[in-house]
Amino acid sequence: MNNIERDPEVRFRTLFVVTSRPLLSYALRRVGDPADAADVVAETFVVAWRRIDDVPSGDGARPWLFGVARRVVGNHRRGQLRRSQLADRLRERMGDLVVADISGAADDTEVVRLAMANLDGDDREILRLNSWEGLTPAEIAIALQVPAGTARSRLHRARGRLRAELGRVGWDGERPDSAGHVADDERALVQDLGCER
Amino acid sequence: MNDDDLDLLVASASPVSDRRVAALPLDGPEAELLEAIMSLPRPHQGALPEVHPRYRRWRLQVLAPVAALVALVVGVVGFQQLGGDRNEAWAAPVVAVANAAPRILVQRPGWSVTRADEFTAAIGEMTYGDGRNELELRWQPAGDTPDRSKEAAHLETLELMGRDARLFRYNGPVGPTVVPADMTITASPPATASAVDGPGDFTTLWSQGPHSVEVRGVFADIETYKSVLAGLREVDVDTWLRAMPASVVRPDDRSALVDEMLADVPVPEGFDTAALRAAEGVKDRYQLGAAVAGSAACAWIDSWVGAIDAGDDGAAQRAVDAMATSHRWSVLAEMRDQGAYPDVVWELADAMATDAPVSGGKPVTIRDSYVNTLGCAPR
Repeated sequence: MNNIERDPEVRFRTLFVVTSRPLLSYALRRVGDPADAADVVAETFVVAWRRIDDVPSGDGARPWLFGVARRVVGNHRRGQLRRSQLADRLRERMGDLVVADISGAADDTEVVRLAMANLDGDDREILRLNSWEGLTPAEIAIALQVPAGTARSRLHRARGRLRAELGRVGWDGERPDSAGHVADDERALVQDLGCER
Repeated sequence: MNDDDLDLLVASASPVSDRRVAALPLDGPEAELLEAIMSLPRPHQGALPEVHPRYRRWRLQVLAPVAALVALVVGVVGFQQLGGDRNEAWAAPVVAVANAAPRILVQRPGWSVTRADEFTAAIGEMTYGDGRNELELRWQPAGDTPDRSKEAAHLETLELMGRDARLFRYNGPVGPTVVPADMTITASPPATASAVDGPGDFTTLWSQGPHSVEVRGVFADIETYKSVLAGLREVDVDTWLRAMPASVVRPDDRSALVDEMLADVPVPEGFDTAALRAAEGVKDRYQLGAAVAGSAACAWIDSWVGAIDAGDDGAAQRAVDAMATSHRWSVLAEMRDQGAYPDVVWELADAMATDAPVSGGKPVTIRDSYVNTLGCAPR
C-alpha cells in the first residue's frame, strides 16, 4: 500500500464506492425487506469504518466485508439489529423502490429454490456466496473465516448435496436458460481455485 | 450437470439481480450515508473495542492450520522414525493442537479417517468412511453452534460419549412444500417424526468444551446411523494423530511428489519449484496437486500475457500449446473427481487458444481473471 492507500478515509471511501451496491444486493437477498437491507448496509459499513485498520488490503477487503455483513444479517434475524439513523435517507428511498425481480419466476426456478431450501443453512449459504455474490472459494474462506481448503471442500460437498436434492425434487437436469432470471452480470466468475493471494 | 451448470442454476434462483440493484437511483442517499458514517469517531488503533472479537482471533487461526499440519506431519514422521515413548515423540505444537481439538474417531471395523485436509484447534472438519458409508465431523467454536431446528427435524436427544446430543434429520418427504415467493430462500418445514423410517440425511450436534461438534451422514436408516454414532470415541493424542489419512503429504515425501506431479507437465523456462518443494504449506494430496498444476498454469499464462503485450507471437503460441496439454496432465486427471480445480485450468487453457472470454455469469478476459481464478502467487 502506498501512503494514499494507507489513509483510512481514502480506504474507506474507496471500499464504500466499490462495494456498497454488491453489499446492498447481498442484504436484499438475505433479509428481503428493503428498509432492513438499508440497515444491514449501514451497520456493516459502520463496523468497517470503525475497524478500517483491520480491513484486509486489496482483494481481501470485499469478502471481509461480506463476512461482517453476514454477522449483521444474523443479528437482524435475531432481532438485534436496531434502526440506524444513519440509514434514514437510504431506508426511506429504498422503501419507495420496488427491487424484487421475483414475480413471474419460472417453474424451474421454483424447483431450484425448493431444492436449496431443503439443504442445510451452511450448504445453502456457501452456494449463494458462490453463485449469487460471485465470491471465489478463496473469498468465501475469508467471509466464513475458514481455511481456503475447507471452503473448497464445503463448496464441493454442497454442490453434491444440491445435485442429490435436485434429483429428489424432480429436476429434469436441463441447463438453465441463461437469458432467464439472472442478469449476465450476476457473477464475475463461477469457479475459482482459491489459492492464497 | 457440471459445476458450471449447477452454479448457473443456483444463480438463476437469485431473487434480486445485481444489475437491478446497480440501476437503483440511490446515489444521493448513499453519499449521505457515507458522510454520516465517516463523521463517526473512529477509535484509535489498538484501543478499539472489538465489535466481533473472534474476527481477530480467527484470522490468526486461519494462518495456523498449515503450520499445525506441518507440525503434525513432522510429529508423525518423527514418531515413526524415533520410536520410543510416544508422548515425547510428538512435537509440542502438535500436542497443543491435538489437545485442544475434539479428538474423535469412529472405532468400528473398517472405519478410518478418509479426509482431514485442514484443521486447527478451533475449527476443523474430518470425514470418516468404511467404503460404503461416510460420516462428516465438524467442530467449531461453541458460540457458532448452528441452529438445525430451522431446517431439520429434531428426532431425539441421546447420550454420546457422556454428553447430551441432539439428533436431527434433514429432507422431510417432498410434499406440498412451497418456497414463499418472497425475497429470501426459506428453509422447508422440518421433517416430521413420521419421516423417521427409511434413508435419511442425519446430523447430531453436541457441545464439547469450547466447541460445538456435529457429525452428519446419509444412511440407509436411523438405526444404521446410530450404530455408527455408537462407535464414536474420544481418543488420546497418539491415536488421533496416527489416524490421519495417507493423503496427507508428509514433508519428506513432498519434493518427490512434486517431481512426480510435474513429470508430464511442461513448464516455461525459469520455472521455480522451490516454493512447491518447501515444507511450509503442506497440504493433502489434492491441495498439493492444485498448487503444482496451478503454479505451472500461472507461469504459462503469465508468459502468454507478457508475450501478447510484447507482440511476441511465437512465445504466445508456445504458452497456448503448453496449456493445451493440460487436458493430459496426470495430476489434474487424478484430481478431477475430487473437485473443480482441473475444470478451471482446462477452461482457461481452452480459452487461451482463441483469447476467448472465460465463461461464468459475466464473461471476463483471461488476463483479468486468471490470477484470482488460479490463485497465482503475487508477481
